[in-house]
Amino acid sequence: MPDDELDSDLEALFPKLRPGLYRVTSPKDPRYNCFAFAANDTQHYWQYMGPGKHGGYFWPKEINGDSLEDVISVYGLIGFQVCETSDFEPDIVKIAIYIDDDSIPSHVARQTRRGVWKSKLGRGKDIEHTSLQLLEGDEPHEYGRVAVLMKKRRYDSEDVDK
Amino acid sequence: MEVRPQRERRGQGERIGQNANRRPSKPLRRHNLFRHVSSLDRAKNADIEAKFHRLADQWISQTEHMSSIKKACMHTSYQRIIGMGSQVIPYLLQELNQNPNHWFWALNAITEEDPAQSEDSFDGAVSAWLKWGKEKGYL
Repeated sequence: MPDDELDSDLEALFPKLRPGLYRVTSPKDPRYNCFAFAANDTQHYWQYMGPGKHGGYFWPKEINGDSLEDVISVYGLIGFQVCETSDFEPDIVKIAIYIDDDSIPSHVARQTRRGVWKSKLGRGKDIEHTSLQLLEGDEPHEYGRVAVLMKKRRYDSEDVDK
Repeated sequence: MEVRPQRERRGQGERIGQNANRRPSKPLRRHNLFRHVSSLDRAKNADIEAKFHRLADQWISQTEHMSSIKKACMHTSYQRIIGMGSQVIPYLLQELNQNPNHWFWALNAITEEDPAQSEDSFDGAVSAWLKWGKEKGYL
């Protein structure tokens, strides 16, 4: 794996990330976050900001909150349904919603066409990782645990999966 | 009580930044006083700028991987930047221009304005705030 696909700073923040288990797939970009990336959107930062509109952020107007149930509803609006396993299925895209100790959604990862996972790490880089567990854990920067899996049909136009 | 002559008291008032017990060999001239005050302002501004960049660097490095911007903005460094008040607006806007990041919350909290309210994209919000900064004379 080329050195520029690894990041020692990331490995320090997420101790389970090790060479061979992940690779960096994009530079840092503050314009979108994992919630957008999981929905195949790299142009908006998906963030519920509370009542009223706050400039710079997108959140479906139908959903008034960012609890786990709210986030499930957000992805439900674009066709995802809760499913049982993260097993790879051809022509199906799956997402995994992580929650922190307070059961607040902390991250979402998206399965690629090859069955591995892709994550946008906050305002930082995109990475491809071989398993969901690599970003789980209770270290300060880790995302807690996967609480919900969702799936929908995969469309050819969905380019973040490449 | 000793009453000093008017001329002497005026002379002491001009001794800004010096030990009040020591009498200067020559009173500061007016233009030197302005230069002295101006250099104090520059030093103060440099301190504010350095503090802002130190806090901004801390915030970026410690919250960059958080998905929730609401949670990231609750970080101590971000809150301290907000606490610096209106004096930090020029530096926030310069940073937004040169290294765009999520300074919208801080700008909104300090100015109580949101020129980006109709924008739902990051780039749109950056443009709106920079336009606002130019109109207000900060940039």
